[in-house]
Order: sequence, then C-alpha cells, then structure tokens
Amino acid sequence: MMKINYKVSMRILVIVILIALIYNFFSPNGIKLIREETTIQIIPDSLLITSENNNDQNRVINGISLKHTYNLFINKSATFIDARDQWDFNDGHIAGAINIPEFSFDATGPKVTSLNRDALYVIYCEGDDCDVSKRLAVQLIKLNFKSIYVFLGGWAEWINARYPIVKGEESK
Amino acid sequence: MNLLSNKYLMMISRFILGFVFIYAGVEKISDPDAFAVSITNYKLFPLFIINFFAIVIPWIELICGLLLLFGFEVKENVIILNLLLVLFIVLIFTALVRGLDIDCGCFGTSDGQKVGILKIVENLGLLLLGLLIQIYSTDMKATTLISSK
Repeated sequence: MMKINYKVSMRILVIVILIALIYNFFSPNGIKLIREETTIQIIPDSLLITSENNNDQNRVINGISLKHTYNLFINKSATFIDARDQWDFNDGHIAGAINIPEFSFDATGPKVTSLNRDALYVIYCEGDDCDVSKRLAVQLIKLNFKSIYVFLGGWAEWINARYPIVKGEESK
Repeated sequence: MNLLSNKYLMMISRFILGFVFIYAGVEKISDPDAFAVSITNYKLFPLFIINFFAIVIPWIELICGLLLLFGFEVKENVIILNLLLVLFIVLIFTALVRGLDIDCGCFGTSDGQKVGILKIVENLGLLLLGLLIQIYSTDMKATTLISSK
C-alpha cells in the first residue's frame, strides 16, 4: 500500500477550480460568483396596482397584503396563480385561481406559454413562510412577465378572512 | 487481501466510479443555475458560497472522474471523490433528518431524484468502491501528469 501524496491532490483541486472558474466566465450559461438574494419589496396598500406597474429588477419581488389582494380579486383585475401542488389546490383554492405548481415548473409547457405576459398576476402559496410563490415569481419574471405580485399571507390568511374559495380541480 | 487488490476488480471499480462522476459532472455543468438552486434548497450554506460550489463541484466531478478512468494519479484523485461522497452523504442525511422534501441535485435536475434513504445507500456503495481504490490501488507509478517534484 503506497502513501497518498496530498500535495498532488491539492494541486489537482486548484487546477480544477481554475478551469471551472474560467469556463464559467466564458460560458453562456455561466452564473455570477456571488449569488444574489431575492428581496421582497412590500407594496403599500395605498398604491394602485395596474398591469402598468412593471417589475424592473430580476431579484426584487413585489409583495402585497390581504387587503390589496382582495381589492384585486373584487375588481377582477388580476389572475390568481396557486403555486402549491395539485392536491393542495384541489383541497381548496382562491376562487378563479389557476394552478402552476412550482415544483414541476415548466417554462415551455402549454400552461405557462398560454399566459399573457402583459397581464397582472398574483401568486400565493400556503402561508407567509412558504417559498414556492416567491420562487415561481422569480421564474415568471425571468420569462419577461411584466406584472407579478406575491400575496404574502397566502392561503392561510385568505381562508382565515373567509374570502371566496373553490374546491376541486381547475376549471378548464 | 489478494482478491481485493485484484487488478481487474480495481479496474472495474475505477470504471464505475469514473463514469458515475463524469455523468454527474456533465449534467450539472450544463446548468449551473439549477444546481445552485438545488444547493440552496438544502438550507445549509450561506448565500455567498453557493454559486462558487455550483461552479466548482461539477468540474471536480468531471475531471477527477476522467483522471480516475484513465488511471492518472489514482489515489490522489479518488481521495478527493471520497471526500465529496462523504459530504454528499452527510448533506442528504441532514436533509432527511430535517424532513426536507427536496430534489437531491445529484445528477443535475433533469431526473428529479428526491433525497431519500436510497440515495444514501447509493452514495455509500460508491464510497465503498472509492475506499477500495484508495486502499488497494497499486498503479501509482503510472503517469505523472501533475507530479510533485
């Protein structure tokens, strides 16, 4: 049994890291060395939301309150997107919402491509500590959707307020 | 001892481990952003280090896998891969314990394998092969691509 030369291991590692960084720099799929955090900017209730409000930064998500969400619901000015899986969705969802589970998000699927990118969308998930609505928002913003909002209180806050819900599968 | 250090067994182990890592590396190199999301989902690492891991780990897998396959500096390579495997096992184990239902990111995200006991068994199997090579491989002299003087 021969001894392992750790110096050689270290040398291999250093060279590989250099290759990786150089490749990443020139690759079209390359990513930034430091990951940017997604930040949530809370939109005050007094601000009127229309489909003219644009997401101008990739990593900033617009979050809205229950009151704001309910106004959009009453005015029918936004399409609601449920980011939870289909079973949670079938157990009950905001009336009129469509279901795009973040877990199986497919940017080229018929569900996403059929959406109007200029329209106003409100995304929600289970409650205020779930991530899928925010992640779905980032994905849609990347696809150049202009007005994406996240209802931060989510499903929990909505049923708590006894606002309209529907059970069962998505209406086609 | 003789059986374990058998050169055919060594060769087969090197081939299996080499190919698995090359495959895993290539899958991830093509989509570093998806791999970064997979790492983020483990909720263990600070944000600033995640992209660095996502850039570097696939290349370590690919190049060490290739070197292993062709028999360059076998022991020095396999110890790097073994350390990676230990890291993966610990990560998957902690994810399981914390009840995270996430994509393991093992072979890119194309196959969507979830973390689970099976993944740990798979990695333990690979680690076994890796340790076998690390302990019994004898073809050290072979080629000195990056030899230390």
